[in-house]
Amino acid sequence: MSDHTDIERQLPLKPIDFHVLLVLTEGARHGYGIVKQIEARSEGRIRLQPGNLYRYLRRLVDEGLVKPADRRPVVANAGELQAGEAAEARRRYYEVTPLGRRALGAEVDRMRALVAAAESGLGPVG
Amino acid sequence: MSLRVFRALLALYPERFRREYGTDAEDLFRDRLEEARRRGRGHVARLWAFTVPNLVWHGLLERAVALRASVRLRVIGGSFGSAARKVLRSPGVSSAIVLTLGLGIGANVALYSVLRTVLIRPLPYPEAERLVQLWETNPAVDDELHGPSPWNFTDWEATAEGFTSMAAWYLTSGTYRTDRWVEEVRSAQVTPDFFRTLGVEPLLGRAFSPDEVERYGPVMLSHRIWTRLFGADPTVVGRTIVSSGNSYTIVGVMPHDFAFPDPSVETWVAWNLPNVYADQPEVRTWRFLQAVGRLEGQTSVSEAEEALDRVAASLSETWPEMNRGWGASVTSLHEDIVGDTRATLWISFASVLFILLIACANVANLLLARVPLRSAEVGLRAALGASRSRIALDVLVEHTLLGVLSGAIGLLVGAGLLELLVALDAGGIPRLSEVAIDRGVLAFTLSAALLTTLLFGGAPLLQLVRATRFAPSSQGRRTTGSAGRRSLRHVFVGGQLAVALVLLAGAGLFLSSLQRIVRVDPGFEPTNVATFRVSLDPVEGTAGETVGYYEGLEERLRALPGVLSVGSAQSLPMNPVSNDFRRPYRRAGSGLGSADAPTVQMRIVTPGYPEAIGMRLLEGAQLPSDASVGEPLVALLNRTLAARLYPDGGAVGSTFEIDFREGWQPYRVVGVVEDVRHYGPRREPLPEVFLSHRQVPYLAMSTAVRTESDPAAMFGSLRDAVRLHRPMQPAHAFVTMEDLLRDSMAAERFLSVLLGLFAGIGLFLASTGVYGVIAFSVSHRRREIGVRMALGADGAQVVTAVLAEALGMAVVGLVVGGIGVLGLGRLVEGLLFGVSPTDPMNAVAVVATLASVAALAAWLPARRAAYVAPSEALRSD
Repeated sequence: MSDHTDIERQLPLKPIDFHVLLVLTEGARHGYGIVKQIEARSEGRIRLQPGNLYRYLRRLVDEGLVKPADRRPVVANAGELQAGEAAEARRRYYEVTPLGRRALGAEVDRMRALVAAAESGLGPVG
Repeated sequence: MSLRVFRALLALYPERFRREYGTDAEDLFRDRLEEARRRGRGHVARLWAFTVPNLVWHGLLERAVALRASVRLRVIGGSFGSAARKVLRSPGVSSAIVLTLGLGIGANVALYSVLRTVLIRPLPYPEAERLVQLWETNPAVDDELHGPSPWNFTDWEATAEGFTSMAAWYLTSGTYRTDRWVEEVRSAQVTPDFFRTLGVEPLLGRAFSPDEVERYGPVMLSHRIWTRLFGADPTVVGRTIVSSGNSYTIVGVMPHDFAFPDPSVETWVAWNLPNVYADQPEVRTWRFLQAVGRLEGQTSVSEAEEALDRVAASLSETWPEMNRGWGASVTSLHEDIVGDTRATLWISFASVLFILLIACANVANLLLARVPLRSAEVGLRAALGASRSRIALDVLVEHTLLGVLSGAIGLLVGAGLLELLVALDAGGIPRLSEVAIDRGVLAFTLSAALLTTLLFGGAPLLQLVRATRFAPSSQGRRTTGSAGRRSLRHVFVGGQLAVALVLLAGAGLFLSSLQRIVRVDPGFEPTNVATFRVSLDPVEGTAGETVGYYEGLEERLRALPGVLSVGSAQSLPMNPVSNDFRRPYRRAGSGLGSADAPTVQMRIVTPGYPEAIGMRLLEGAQLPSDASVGEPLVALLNRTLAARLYPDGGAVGSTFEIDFREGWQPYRVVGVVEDVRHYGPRREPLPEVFLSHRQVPYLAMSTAVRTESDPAAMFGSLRDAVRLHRPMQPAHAFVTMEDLLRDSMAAERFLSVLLGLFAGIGLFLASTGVYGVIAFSVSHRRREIGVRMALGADGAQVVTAVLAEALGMAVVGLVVGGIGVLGLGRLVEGLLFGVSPTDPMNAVAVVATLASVAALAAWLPARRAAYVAPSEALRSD
């Protein structure tokens, strides 16, 4: 069960790792796609730059949670295709590994437990 | 270009990272850049402002991570200890380095904070990027943006698509009275949606609701007036105050930092345009409002402009005689507020960056000069078995320590400079009060400190590491590689001279630009003129009483000792507090309608006004002192208007027409006066007409008082005279004409003082660079010089040989700097006045200054070479 201990060691996930993994579970994406999706989901609060996004990806790849995709998804967003076919062709997509998927699941479980604890303490919220 | 810069910055990352992710990062940056370009210029600047510190910071972090993988933390800890010891062991050198760089970084921190707040940070309103300013335009009249007229604005507000809301305002003032005080307060009349459009909630109470505004009022208070006049009393909401004779209910108090449209405004009076102008359809041509709009979610500025322009087009079909040719224009509110400051700030920032570069070169040269001393120690360590990477790490940590210390000093210096800049309110920069040292500024300081470390420490580090290849020499003097080091130092000094040349050229250009502006004839005599403003209440008194009030007041002022002449106008030159407006005019007998007629700036003046401010009569006579309402209307023209109306002369005695108050009326020309630079020396004069206050009375007038001596010293007695004339009528906005004129040149003054200062610092630093290199070279070549002297060379020959070394550096500096001046000159062209960036006089003066300072800096140490005794050849070494 080395996988299990690996996952234990990753928790809790850093918020930014959580966001990246979450985006990638929806399908393989390239850098700009990841950035835009995270921006939308965090309502503009998290704006990744080229300088840091690839550092986070590098770390996630090193930890085995994410890997470069073997082939690109067939359909991309129409908006993303405008950037130019040549650039599009060599663009690298990233996808989540099975280990990454489990780490995300474990994190969600952890958060769920926390939320449950908080709610039972506070009574019904909202 | 952009991508090349990005690629260059990527070099901060370890090579392995670049190989793996470099192209991806570049693609992502390209995407962001395209997105930013689509959204406008401000977004590109903002992208760079985020990207550069982000790359520097994360690049170094990634390097640290890579380093940690190979070197143990303990090693760095050890390095740090030894670095700290080394820094402390030579306190003189270390503090010279830290202070030089600290000052350089500090100046950068201050300017960056201003730049970031003013240009990059959004305005302090929610979703401020959606706020736009709305204008009317008519290419047939001029290429300026005009504020909308009340009726056009009302129709825009009702029909234009793409806006969530719109608001219009007009700056005015009101006389606020209670039993205990009376004060003239700067006020804005605003349409009911004003606060909703800006998206700012009051601190107390509530915003206006549209259905409560009948004509004027209720009123919103600023935080300032609330604390000053009401002692910050929270029960003030719901009370009534009287402004200029009208009673208004106070509905709320705005937060402390709300300053729109500008910080001088202390009350906002709600204003129902359709009701106020209900029986005045002709108000559709009075384009005197300012208007702001908030764009709907996805609407872009250009889409909004198209939508508004469509409305304007249909309005000009419905009201052809008033709106023909008038379209609409939409601009970013941020751009409108920041506007002209952009160039000033970038130039200032560029010059402090230059200073930092020169300082880095000085420090690099200082460290390079110490390489021979240090290489003995380094060589010894290498001989004892220390690895090169360990030695490099030690030196790097030492340099970083110096860099970070400089950064800390820089932060302090920067904060101090910022205080000074805000306190002096230098250069008329908007939003200065918002400037603060925040996280972004801290990140900038750190990045600047680390980049500085690389800049000043890179070359010395490489030299020291190279020194490990060679065995230690006992004296550390004859180490190999010194020739390479010397030429490296020459390159640095050449670079310093180049940068100093650019700064000098800039300072020279702005200085001669300012001189030319100062020499522009303003068309009147600004010395010894005091001015102030009185605003009579619109609710009481007849037109005759208004005329009587000002005539009586002027009479009383003329009787004061020290007063030479007195006159009043509704709008004074260069005075921001005034009612400046224009109306259509036409030749007598012309059939032009109001929409097609050109416009003239209206100046309503009392008969004494032209004399009081010293205007010059060109032909005819001044306005008669006995003109009255029933008689034919008379007018005084400025030279520009006279030339437009009567190109062949013969203005005096002719009649023309202005559409003012009672529609088109004939005016008889009594005289022509010289043009006055009403909008400052840089703006060409516009057509102006001077009408007699006795025939067209006006409530709020600015009075100009020509005095025998210091006009500011008269403010007290002038104020007293106004109070005596009518006790409950205050005077306000006291200012001398010379101050108004000086304020109109604030940006030019700021730039020439700043660039002059920086050029001086740059010149000083560069000359110490030259001095250092030549002095070092002379002291190292004593033996060679001694041999030459022994072989019969005389002192002059030796000095010449040494100076030749300096000449080489100076030539490089002048050529590179000259290219820089040509390149950068085009960027500042628009800011200059009457002088071209390639002005030969300026070029000659700048080159001569730089060359003579460099020559002096080289000559001082070179002279010493002449006194080297031939015996030195034997003694040395």
